[in-house]
Amino acid sequence: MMFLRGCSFKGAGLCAALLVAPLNAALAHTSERAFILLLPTKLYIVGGALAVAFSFLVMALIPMASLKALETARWRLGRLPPWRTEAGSLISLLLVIALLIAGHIGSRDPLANPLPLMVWTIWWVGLSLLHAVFGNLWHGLNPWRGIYRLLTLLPGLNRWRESPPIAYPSWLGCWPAVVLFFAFAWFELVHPSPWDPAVLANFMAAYLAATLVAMLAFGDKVWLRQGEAFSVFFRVVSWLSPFEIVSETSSNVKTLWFRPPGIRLLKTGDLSISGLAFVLLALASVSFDGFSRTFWWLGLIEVNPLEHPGRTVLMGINSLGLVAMFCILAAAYYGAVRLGRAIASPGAESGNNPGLFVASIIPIAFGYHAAHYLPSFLVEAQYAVRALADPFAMGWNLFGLDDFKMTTSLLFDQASVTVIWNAQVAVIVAAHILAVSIAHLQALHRATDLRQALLVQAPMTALMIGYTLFGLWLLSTPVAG
Amino acid sequence: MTKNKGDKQTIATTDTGISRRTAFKTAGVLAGAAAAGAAGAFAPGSIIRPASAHQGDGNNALRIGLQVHRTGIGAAYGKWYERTTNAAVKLINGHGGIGGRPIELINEDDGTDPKRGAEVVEKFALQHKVDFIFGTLFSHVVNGSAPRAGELKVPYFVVSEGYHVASGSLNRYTFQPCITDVRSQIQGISSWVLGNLGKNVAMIYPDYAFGYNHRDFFGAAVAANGGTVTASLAIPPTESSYTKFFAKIPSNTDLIYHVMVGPGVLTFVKEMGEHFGSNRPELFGFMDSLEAVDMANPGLDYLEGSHFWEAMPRYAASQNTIGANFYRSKVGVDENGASVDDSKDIATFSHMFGCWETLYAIKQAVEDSGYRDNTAKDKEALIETLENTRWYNEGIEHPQGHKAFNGKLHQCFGSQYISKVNGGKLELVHTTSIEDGLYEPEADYTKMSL
Repeated sequence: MMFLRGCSFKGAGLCAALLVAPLNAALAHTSERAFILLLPTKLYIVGGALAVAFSFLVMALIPMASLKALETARWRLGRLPPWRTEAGSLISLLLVIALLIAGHIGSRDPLANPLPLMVWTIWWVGLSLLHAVFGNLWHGLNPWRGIYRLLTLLPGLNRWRESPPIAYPSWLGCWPAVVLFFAFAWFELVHPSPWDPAVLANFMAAYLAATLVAMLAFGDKVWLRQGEAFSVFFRVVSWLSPFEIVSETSSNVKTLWFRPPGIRLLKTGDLSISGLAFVLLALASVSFDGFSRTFWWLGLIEVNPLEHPGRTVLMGINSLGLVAMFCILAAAYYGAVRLGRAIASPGAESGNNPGLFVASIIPIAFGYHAAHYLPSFLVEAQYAVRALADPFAMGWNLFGLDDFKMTTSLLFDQASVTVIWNAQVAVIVAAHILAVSIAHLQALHRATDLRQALLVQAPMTALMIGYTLFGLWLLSTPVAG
Repeated sequence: MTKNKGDKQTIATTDTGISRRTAFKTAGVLAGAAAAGAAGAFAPGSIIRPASAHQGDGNNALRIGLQVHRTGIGAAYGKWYERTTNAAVKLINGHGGIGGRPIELINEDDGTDPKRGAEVVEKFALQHKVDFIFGTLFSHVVNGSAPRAGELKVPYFVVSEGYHVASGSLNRYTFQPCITDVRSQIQGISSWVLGNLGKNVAMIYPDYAFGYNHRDFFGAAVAANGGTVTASLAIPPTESSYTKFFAKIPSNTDLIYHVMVGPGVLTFVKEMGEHFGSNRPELFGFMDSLEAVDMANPGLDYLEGSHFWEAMPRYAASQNTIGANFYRSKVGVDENGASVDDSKDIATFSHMFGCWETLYAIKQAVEDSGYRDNTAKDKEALIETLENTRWYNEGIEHPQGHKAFNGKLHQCFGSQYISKVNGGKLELVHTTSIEDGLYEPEADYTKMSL
């Protein structure tokens, strides 16, 4: 867990991250809802919540010795050959530069230009999914590490690698990542045209340059650990992965281990306030992406969903909504932690340990992220393949895709929509069961006995059951926009 | 040979579908038939010119901006509007372009957002320097975009079916030459519907402007035809359960006129079936409710035997004309209205023909007006030419049907189609005459300054 150090997390000293949602929501989010509305969604929602509640009871009945064994279980898969992350990073940078060029000279159509599809679909959704399965790929794929290495080989700059010109203030914690992640979420969810190739290219270029400058100023390690929003985000998602790479202290040898999925969340320790804020912001942003499209929300802000006025006129109210969602979630989370402590240890001084259960929020945030984007991903990934075949709109056919047939109707067909809906429900319920399980193990770590652990965990479990209801409702209720 | 420049498209093709261009200047009937293989529809008085061999280059291309709803609530339409447009551009360029100049198509997504629509118009005019803009569908986006086009004096062609153009609320640079407006659509079908399906009508419509058009225009038609509106039920746009509204429909109702749209449509049909069962009144709806939806989806079987308006029949068997079949094949739509690549990907067939036909209307106007350059003088000449146009003949260029064009209103009027659901498919039972949909003009754009 060396890579987790230093992000002002208590304990393991880590930073946390979180999840958001892509935008184009517009593309495919509404189409499948007409068919989902025909399904007995209330039964799914109640059944999902009951399953999560039941998992709480099951966890309570599992002997502590078995849980301990689960926590430490790991299977060695083998040694990894030595590699340098700079090579992958430089390849990524070249790809990013090519995409930025495509953003400006390629098609103006957001579903024909590869930039928005690669960013919002392949990177934001697809790569997130891969992180949950395979671990922290971004560590080797981020586009800055290689160029930073090359730049710091230059005379005059080579000293900066070991001795950055500006010391990173420890009090900053992960707050730069929080701020940047909020800006990203706002761009994705509130800005009128995040799918516009040129607009997106400009935002990306600014972020890429600013990150490189920050790395040079503060040093690559600290900035990628605490300041760069997506390094924090992907690292947090990677804690869900069953694969763990461990560096042997006495050598440069790395070993690959297989562990129970999600168990590495227990190693996060208690998060700092900034780490906690990052995780909650991730959950809030992806939740608001779904929520802001619901007829319920649109009705509340007096917008006719059947004649949606577009994103421009909703920028103000949606900015407020995004902030409000974060505040409500943070209050609910903090309230559950405080209440749990109060009922588990009456009379004891309330803890200053708000990060107690934050690791258990990560599966919920990621679960909703995955379920929320599944339908649009299935369609847009096909557009991405097609766009990559002619990235600069020059009439190329790089992959010989003349016969490539896109299948977009899977969101307009009752049978395929039913399959997708069931997959979404399964992901949401599994994520919440994992969250309840992680929370239980975290509680056991700090409680004196099982009873106290169950009490301290109870309000958070109730919150998770409530979020199961909310998440499944978000995926089934009518939406627009 | 296809040179696809993405949104900037300059396409030459070896298609042999049309060997000549046709242009119709005056009213006429479809007299000629396409000679074998040539698939051309030639009318008396047509000006027939051979296709130019000159495809032009990037410098002399006619730049047309396609304002497309690629994202936002109009995305399902946008996809097919773009596909139809691309097919027409490919065909036109393959046969000499417009006035010997190839079309260079530039797509910009407006996000189905009126404010972005105005920005896109500005971008087209000032950055891309297009000759014309076309393709806007959703009425609120048209209303948000067209004023800017007028200010910038860019001819702006909408494919919307809204009443906004004909109402006189827009400007002299905005035209709707190839899709009939909703007022005319409703008036056109009303006499047949009331005469054949019943005169005691319950109307169910969404509680906003789209629904009010139907309430007002069809309600007036009911009164004019001696009928009675037994119930007028405005459904809140956020409503997702409809049974309570069905309970308000009196038992003496002969016909339910429904125009629901949005994700609740299938639930609406399902609950209607649960409420009325087999003992239901006649049903008449607008295809807007089920555009891009496969009639074979579970639950829609309750619509068996009911009737729908279609602007252009989805199923090929209903409109077996040379023009319609040619158009269908070039856009890549099968006989059931689905993509030839994906039998479950249903086209927005009742609307997208407007893109195809509008490009041909632009072609005719450019060639008849002698438009050459993106200048005020040439654009004014083009607008005046359009305003003097009276008729578009049915054929390959206008596969939906003949259209009368009112130059004062900047609006066309065409036949409408009434289909019946039979065996899970729509079968044409009646075609209205153009005269059925004509109404007294309330505007005259020609009096506005250019």
